Amino acid sequence: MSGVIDGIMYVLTHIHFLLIGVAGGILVGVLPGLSGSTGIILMFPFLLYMEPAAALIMMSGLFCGSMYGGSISAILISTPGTPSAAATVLDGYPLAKKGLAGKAIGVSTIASTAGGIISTLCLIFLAPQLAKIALKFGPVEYFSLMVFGLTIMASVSASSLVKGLLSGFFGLLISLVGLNPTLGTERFTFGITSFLSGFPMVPVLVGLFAISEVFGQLELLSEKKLSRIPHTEKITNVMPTWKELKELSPVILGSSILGTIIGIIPATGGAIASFMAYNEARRFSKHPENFGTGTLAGVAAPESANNGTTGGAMVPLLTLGIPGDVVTSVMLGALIMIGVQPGPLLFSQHPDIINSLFVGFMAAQFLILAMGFLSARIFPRILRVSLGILFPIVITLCFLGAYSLGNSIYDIGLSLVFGVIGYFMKKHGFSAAPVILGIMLGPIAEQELGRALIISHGDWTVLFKSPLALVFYGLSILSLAYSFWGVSKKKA
Amino acid sequence: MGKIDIIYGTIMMILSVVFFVMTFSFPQESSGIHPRAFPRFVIISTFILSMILIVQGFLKLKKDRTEEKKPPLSRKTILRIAALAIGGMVYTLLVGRIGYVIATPLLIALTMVLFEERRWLRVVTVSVLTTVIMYYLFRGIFRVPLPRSIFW
Repeated sequence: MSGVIDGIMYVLTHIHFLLIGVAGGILVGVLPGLSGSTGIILMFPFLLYMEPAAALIMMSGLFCGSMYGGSISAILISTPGTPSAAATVLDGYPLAKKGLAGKAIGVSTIASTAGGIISTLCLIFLAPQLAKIALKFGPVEYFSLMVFGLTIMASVSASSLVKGLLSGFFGLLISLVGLNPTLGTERFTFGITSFLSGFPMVPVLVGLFAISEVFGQLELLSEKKLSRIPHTEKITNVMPTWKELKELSPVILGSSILGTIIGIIPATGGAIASFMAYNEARRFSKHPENFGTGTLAGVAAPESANNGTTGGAMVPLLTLGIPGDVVTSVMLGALIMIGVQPGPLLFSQHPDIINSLFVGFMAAQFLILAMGFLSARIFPRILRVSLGILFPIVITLCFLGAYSLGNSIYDIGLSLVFGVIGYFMKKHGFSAAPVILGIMLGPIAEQELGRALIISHGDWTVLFKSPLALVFYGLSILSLAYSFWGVSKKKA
Repeated sequence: MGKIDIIYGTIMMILSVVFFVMTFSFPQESSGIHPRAFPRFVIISTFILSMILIVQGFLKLKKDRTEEKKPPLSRKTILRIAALAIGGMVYTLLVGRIGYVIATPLLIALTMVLFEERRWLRVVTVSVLTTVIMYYLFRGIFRVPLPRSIFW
């Protein structure tokens, strides 16, 4: 209990970081082209100078805020601010056309908050239990877990299973460059001294997730494919009535729970959750024909579901070190950068960080509620910000982020190279998330494999002797089979 | 898309072959340590996956010869993207020599122009102001040793 009070005290004394996080999250969420993952990357240069707990609550605030912010542009300009808000366009934009943009934003605010609260409760109760189980993991279990994490990420994220897997293996291949983790011998360096330390994660992250986006937006702008806010929209009547809220409450509750569960499954995330919740809400609705024409339930369902994934996605990240979605994979990179290794040991060695995070995560939800209602009127103005100012600043911050960890100009060049690679990958149906996962999990998988083999004196069958490991292999095969089946069904 | 799949598959395949050849110079396994095992697993899987991608690419080419193609990017767009990439490279090469405070406004101005900002006063103000703020924030407060030169 004293831990909780310490957590509350910590968050209260560091509330400005949470405020910056939530406000920044809403901002990057609202702006199409910037998302939660880019937002965290833009914070990189600042995170380095913060206490781990403060950095973590700021990133959590940004994560939740961006999930909510994405709905605003979905409603106002029919362009989801983040991929997770794609389902919100279906009913949000028709509502705005009817002149009910304010009410749609109000419902989205309440639904997002509710989803976030339920998700946070799940995080608080589930994570410590899971951490206790994970504490018993040995090298074999960890190896199988990494295999699971990589396959599931590869199978959901790209346009095809082969491309997803190839993206993941590209990351693994890159992670091999440098030094052998057990022997310390040089490998795959091509005689280049800079390659000896491998490819540092931060510039690669900055390049693949943020700089690639600048190139992508430049292409969209140049090809005139960007939707701008059409006219001076006035946001009025933000508050929904009690009657409306009462009608929406079952949808909000159900979608929040659905979102939380989907969030816990590694590598799924808000986009999948919101579409599932939208479909379920339509299936259970008394008036399914209203969906798509501008019904409030069509906004409430995806918005409570995608914010529901936030706390859920934090569960595998904190307890196992496996990110739950794209944003948490960037968060994992940021945590390693500031010297925090997520995993079961975090719970026993740094309970203070965990407690502050729990309190901060809950507080973030109420900040979203307050900021959503207070700033609803200025949202159209954010959408009118000039891209000619926004993206030059983004690229400057990206380069600063790449530079400031190692104070190395080489890292700036590296982030640019990976920015170009990421731009082409995204353009051609590959995905950046498995690459990053490959880079982050590859070395751990190799190390655990090495450890397992040393303990077993080189006996490979040890990898298949642990029942828990077998479960993870089974889940990996299942996720591959599922996505293979899903792809062939789509084609048929 | 078929052609593109073949290109990506070929690049990855060449990469995996090069990497595989390099594993032969690795130390031999001893007392349960297998320095070649994990890299070779990754390399061989990459090779197989790129082969599948190439085969899929050829199948696609055969099947949708008639399928309408996505309109290619306009010349203007390609030039702009190339300009941003080259500009970034030049920035990387120059920033250590001419210093952060001189190189960064040039990069910001270039990016602004590429993003269709045509008001010159704005370009100058934003690029100079952003640089000054970043410099004082990171060099002054966070003590990041941003590159400096004899000029600044």
